[in-house]
Amino acid sequence: MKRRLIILVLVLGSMLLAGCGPAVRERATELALEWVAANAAIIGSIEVTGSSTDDDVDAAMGAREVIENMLEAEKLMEEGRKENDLGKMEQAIEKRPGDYTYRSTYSAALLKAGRTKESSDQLKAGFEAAEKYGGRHLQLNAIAAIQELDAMRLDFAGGGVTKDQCMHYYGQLSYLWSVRAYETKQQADLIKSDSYHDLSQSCK
Amino acid sequence: MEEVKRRRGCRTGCLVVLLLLLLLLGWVLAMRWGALERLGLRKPIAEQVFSPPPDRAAAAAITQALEQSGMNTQGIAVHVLPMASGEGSVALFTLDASQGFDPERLLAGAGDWEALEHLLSDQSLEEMNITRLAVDYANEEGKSIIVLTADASELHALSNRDAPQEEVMQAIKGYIDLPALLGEVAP
Repeated sequence: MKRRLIILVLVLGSMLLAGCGPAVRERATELALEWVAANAAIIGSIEVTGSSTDDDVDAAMGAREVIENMLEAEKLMEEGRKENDLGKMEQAIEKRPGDYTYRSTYSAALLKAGRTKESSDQLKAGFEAAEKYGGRHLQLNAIAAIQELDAMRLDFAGGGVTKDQCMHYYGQLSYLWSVRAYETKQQADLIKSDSYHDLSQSCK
Repeated sequence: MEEVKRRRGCRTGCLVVLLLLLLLLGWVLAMRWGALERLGLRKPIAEQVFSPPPDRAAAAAITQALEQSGMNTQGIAVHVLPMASGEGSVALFTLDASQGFDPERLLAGAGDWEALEHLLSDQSLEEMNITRLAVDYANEEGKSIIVLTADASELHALSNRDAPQEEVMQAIKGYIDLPALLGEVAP
């Protein structure tokens, strides 16, 4: 039964192609017509109003457009990252304002560019977006932001940055590890948070 | 005098009814063509629901399991989209004939169904926080003609009690572009 369900969910309808043998096509056509008969009311509702009246179903039916938009945003973010182009990152965020990972990347890039206030604002905006989706996303956001800042470690540890940048860099890391510690309850994470706080205070 | 008043009342009543009917028709048409979304007055429901970042790790795990099962995954893309409500994610399988998806090849290569069954088991889906499955089939022109979706726990419940096919069919919601599909079916 499970196998039949998997086949139904994965390939119902998609077997209805010219390349398939007549027997398979016939069976698949039967399945599709059976499905249409069992869901006539919903199909009618979609035809008339464009909605199935179930938000989850409507969302799943519109997921393809979301993915297309997401892929465009990811391409922009990737190009922005490679070319250090803050404008492309902003465009990506405009396309997917709820994707907090983009804000982490953008925040780190702003910090590197010396735009510290905007960097902190973006980090804050990322957490505000993540908070709407629940605690799990707060943690995912913290992990993503830590990864972004860790990737810039050499730029900041070796000097060559302003005191303001240094303070924001370690201050943000301190905050992010405190968010992680809240979830993990690990003493080591709290110690990291404290250490980064001390480093932010010793910036010159 | 009374007669005149009554006639005027009827005329007003008719106009009100006509206006209401026109408004209703306008509303139906506006909904049908997504007027609010097109005018930018409202985000499409899918954009609202899938605003969080995708779960790339879960999507990669599913893709890997499909490949390990022996399926030919050309033209198949898997996306796991968390829902803004925080109540789970949708695993969307995009089967795109314009990108080389071929159902015959897909099924001919599939050998290890156990691996796939394990992947789509209650426990496995729960671990990935997947609550809904969806399939989107696009034809050789890249046009989406079939979108089917089902609640994962409902599917498992039906599966566990070996429910009749009719019930399974009712649990699977979505849309099939029948004219386009019939065009594909024609030998």
